[in-house]
Amino acid sequence: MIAQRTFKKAYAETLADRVRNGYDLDLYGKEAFPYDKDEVLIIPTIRYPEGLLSKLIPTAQGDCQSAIALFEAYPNLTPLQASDKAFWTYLTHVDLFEYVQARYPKVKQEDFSNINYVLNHWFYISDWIKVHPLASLWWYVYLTYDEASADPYKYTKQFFESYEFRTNFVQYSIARHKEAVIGYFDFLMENEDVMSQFFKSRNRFITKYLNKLGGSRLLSTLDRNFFKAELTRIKPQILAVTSNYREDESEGFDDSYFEE
Amino acid sequence: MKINNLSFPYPVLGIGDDIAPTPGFQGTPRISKTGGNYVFEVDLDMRNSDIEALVRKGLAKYVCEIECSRTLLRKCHFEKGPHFRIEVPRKLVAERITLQFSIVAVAPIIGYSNSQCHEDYKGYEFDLEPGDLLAFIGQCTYDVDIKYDKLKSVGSFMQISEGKMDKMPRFLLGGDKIDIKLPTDIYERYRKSVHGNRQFSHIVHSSIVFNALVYALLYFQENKESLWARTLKYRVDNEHALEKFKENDTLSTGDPDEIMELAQILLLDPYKRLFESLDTLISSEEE
Repeated sequence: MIAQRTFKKAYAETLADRVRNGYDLDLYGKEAFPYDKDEVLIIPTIRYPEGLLSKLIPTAQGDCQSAIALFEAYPNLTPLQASDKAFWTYLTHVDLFEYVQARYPKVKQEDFSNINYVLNHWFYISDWIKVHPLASLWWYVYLTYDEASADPYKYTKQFFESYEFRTNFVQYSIARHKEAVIGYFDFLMENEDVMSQFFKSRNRFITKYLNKLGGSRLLSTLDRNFFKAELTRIKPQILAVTSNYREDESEGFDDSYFEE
Repeated sequence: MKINNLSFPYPVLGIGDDIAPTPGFQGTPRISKTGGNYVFEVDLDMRNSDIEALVRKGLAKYVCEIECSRTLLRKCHFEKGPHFRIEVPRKLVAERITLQFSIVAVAPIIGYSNSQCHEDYKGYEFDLEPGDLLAFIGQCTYDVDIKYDKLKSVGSFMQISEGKMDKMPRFLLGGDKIDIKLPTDIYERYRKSVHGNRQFSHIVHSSIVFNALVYALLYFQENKESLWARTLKYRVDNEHALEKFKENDTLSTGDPDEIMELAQILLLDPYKRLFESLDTLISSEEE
């Protein structure tokens, strides 16, 4: 077995710090990122997934397939390991550099100088759940994977149906309660008219509704049936939401994060 | 659920003076590590007979909501009584775990009232649904990555490393430890002659280590989620000798005079140690 490798923590931080200070931006446009091989460690418990790069599709449309391939490539990755910044920084700079660069190719433009673009897509910074090209995909699958379903990726595929789930759902604590996610997605799959139009506004209405409900109820004690039934009960209100819904109440989010 | 500043349409034990007596913890939560788990043992102090009766009837349960924002963990552990023994696999958590204790309805409760509620609620009855909060007892947090047995060691929050790409020494604050980066030529000298040599430790502590610590403490707020910052915050919050800095909230205010003082205490009076060691060095040279 070939073991997976990772960067030493201090080295991963050094790389990020140099980018923050405006250094090395040109390196992200090269064919391969020139990293220091002395700063690499082996993770003996994780097998290196050969052939993963070829399974990843560097387009927004390919994100679902890439996410599932990434998740399956590391079947023993624990949440503790998946929260390790150095691990993801190694993948974006070494094993899967080619994919990340193809997904976010602005780094190859002449006179490229966008520090935040590199920080967002090559490093595990505070907004990683929305913008990290690999960690976010792995966690989206982790949050939606349902072992009990005939197709365990049934809800993952639903998740990738709309960017809205990334921009205005996954960052809320409700998304960490899998029963809530499954209940919500079951509701959507049985009520296709909800997603057929105005879904950006409707999803924001639903997340706000659940958030308010969580003000007096401990939602994490409730199962999928509750969430599905509750959303079914308020379906007329959801359908009444159109593009005129006051989105200015929602937290601002820059959709350009997902632009290639 | 964020309990702070919430008000409910019905009385909730533990929120303001809605219901008496105020619940809490019995003693300090006990935390241990066994095998691949963290084990939390917690006893709650809950003495409201009406709510206890609802628990006995199976209409309500004690619950601990376990959250870890770093690993997106959010799960509940239910109990029928006020004693909890919770095992959390180590592989599921990183940095900080929050445990929030409450009592919730697990079945519809029609016409709920509480004989020990505030007089504003007297005479009113409420219909509760599963998930509705009956009591908020309290919460505790635990930093799984702090090395509690090595808190006083400088190595628990600071390191000196080679800055291969650096031309001058500098301090990095974004990692787990305050990282003093030395350019390769200086680092090599440090490694060969200074590192591990007790004779020079006082000089190193009172110069580059002290400078780095003061610098880091002045930028504490921007890095407060880093392991080094949480380690130092834990010490300030829990050590008697650092009580003043807890009361004055020095880590948040960043008051330069207090930061200087705090850094000197954390490094065990480095200037004094420096001059004492110089005396020894001089006398050994004279011999």
